[in-house]
Amino acid sequence: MSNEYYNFYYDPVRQGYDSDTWSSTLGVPVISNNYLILNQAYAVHFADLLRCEVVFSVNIETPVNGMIKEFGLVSYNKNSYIKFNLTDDQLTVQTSPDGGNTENLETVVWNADWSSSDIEFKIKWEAGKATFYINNEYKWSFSNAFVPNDPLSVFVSSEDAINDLKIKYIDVTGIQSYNI
Amino acid sequence: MANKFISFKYDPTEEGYSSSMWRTLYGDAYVSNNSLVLEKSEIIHYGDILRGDVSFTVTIEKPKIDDNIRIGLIQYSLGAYMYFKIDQGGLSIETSDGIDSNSISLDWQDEWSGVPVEFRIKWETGLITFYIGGQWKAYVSDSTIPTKPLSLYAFNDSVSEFAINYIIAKSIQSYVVSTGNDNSEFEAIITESDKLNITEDITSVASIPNKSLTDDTSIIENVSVEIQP
Repeated sequence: MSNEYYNFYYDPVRQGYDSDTWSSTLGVPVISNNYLILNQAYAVHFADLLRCEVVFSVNIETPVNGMIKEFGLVSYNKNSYIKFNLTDDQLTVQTSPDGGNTENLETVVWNADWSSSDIEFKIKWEAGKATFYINNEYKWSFSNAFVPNDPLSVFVSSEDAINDLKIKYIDVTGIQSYNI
Repeated sequence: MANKFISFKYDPTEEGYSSSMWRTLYGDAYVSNNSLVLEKSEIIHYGDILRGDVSFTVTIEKPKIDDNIRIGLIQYSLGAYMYFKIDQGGLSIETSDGIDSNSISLDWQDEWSGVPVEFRIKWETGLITFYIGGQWKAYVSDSTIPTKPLSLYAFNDSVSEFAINYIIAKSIQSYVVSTGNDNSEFEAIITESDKLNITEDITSVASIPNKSLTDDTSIIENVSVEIQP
């Protein structure tokens, strides 16, 4: 286990959006009203992380059919991930080390209090374990071989154009390995 | 806990003021007389610091009622901070983890006025200690202590001059500098003090020859224009 941890944060007010920190694979996010706004846009951060605790302060409207929004950690081409996924009106937490060939997936019931509010969605990634929290409440934990064991990057995505995915800030702490 | 610590300094004479290291939220920050001068300005450093011992050596005039100055550490959108604050003519230390906040008032000492004085924040796990001029002033050991990374921060919305002579940050447990900020896309942030206020009082008295005193003309105009975003 590492005895040196890395910590960083992303604040749209301080950093804006730049192509040296983020790769836009779909559309281009914009900064508005102090949020990073994604609408038909997908952005991956360039930092490679191995195990950490990541908090996304996210503002989403009530889920409806047609919505496809995701955020979490990903290795894009390998399609390895630990993420929150919102498809139509269903929220799930998911992990996969190999593009979904072997996958953990669990549904989380949407709480009306989360709609259109700044809510913290947290992923705690440990060796062989991924735990999901929303608004500081435990939601689910996977502890098996389907939790990735290779470096991942922070990502945010809103494939639909129905409404915005708004990111207020991202905090990443307790990172065991960090490279950019 | 980390067993490797990071230290750095910021010296305006050596480094000047760089947009690749500092985000100017508004106003002007510039180097003058070997100091970083904040003229109605708010700046945040791009280094992400988790715990450490940070000293700001700054020159501040004796606090006035209209002064509004903050120096310390912040994570802006999270609303987490630990800083010295001068407001309404008073000095205080303020802490917040983004949810709960704490404030402790301090007495200003005349010997600090107008000369470089060290304002030091020692951030440890579960304890923040504040020093001024080498003297212990206050501590906080409650739930308001941030647990997330913060950045160097300075704010001046005063008529008084505020200058940073240098900053020393040492014993930092974790330090990451975000990159690529030079080409970032930002939105225009318009704060209260950015609003344009034009106020003119015009008094014109014209004496016309060969007329009696009662013919003197007096024109008084009060013009107030406020432009808001």
